[in-house]
Amino acid sequence: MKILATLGKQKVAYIATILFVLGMLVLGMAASAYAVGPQPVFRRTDSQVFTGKCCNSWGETVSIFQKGKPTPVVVSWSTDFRLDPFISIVTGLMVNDEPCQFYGGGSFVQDVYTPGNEPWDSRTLQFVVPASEMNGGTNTFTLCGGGLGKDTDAISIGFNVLEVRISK
Amino acid sequence: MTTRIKRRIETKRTAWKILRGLPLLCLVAALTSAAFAVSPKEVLNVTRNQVFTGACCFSWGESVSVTEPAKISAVVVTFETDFELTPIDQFNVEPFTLGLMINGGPCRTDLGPHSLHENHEDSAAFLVGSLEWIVLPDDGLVKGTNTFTLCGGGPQGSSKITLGFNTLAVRISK
Repeated sequence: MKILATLGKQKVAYIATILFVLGMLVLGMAASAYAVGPQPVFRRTDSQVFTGKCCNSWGETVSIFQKGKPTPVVVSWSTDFRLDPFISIVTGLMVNDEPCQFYGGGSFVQDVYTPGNEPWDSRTLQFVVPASEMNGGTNTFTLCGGGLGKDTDAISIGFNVLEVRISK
Repeated sequence: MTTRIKRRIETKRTAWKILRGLPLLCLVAALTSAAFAVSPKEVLNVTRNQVFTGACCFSWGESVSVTEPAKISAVVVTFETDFELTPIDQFNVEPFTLGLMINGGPCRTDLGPHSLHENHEDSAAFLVGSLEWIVLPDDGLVKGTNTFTLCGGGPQGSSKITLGFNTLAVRISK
């Protein structure tokens, strides 16, 4: 307090103003650092079960920003999975929350009967989304799919990664 | 001739020398960037069969590396392979777990899918496996060179996998 008294009111106000401006600058920088931008990669390390006929959102999303006119993108999905015998599942993408569409091979079939627990297997799929399906700016791609048979058709999805990249 | 005129002539000569050297500099720069566009370390192509025996997890000796700039980004590692697993019975084979060692660290099997297993009625056949992993900056990536080594193993010490022709590749996610 003694120091403040010796400085005088004007100087104290001046220092306070400088500190306030600096504080706002720091806050602004921190906020921009944590701003959520496009997320071209996604990784999930638990298992989920998706039940039902095609097609429902499976809630896994990636996004990418393209300046100006968009060019085609490649979305890769690599996953561990497990299916009951004799079940067929199809997978695709919802582009910018539009209905589920199929942009490449996305079928999962278990046509061999194995007594006991079905094993985990892995697969990598690549979807190519044409430029005509996208807007300029940020585009989002959400995994979707479902069974081709009954409402009880289910697929277990294990550890998996989803990635989007611009086709060159 | 005044000193000012002499200086001007000297300046013009110097500028001309620089201009003459520019095309050569551009050529060198272009060649250098072309040479470093795709580092040979980023891809590996193995064209022989290898047998790995043992429980998870141990190094399989296949590595690729990528150079990270100051601002570290996630990387994508892809592995595609022909493989043959040890049959347990008529329908089943022993599953194998795969992962990556980041910069010589422990075998990480949580970077994406890790299962190599397929039911098939003809157990004496090579199948194709394809896995992709995403390594995030927090997983231990550093500025400069980062190395990724394939690792894995079976459920027990006697588990055996034969890897056929395979490719391992790494790229920075953009």
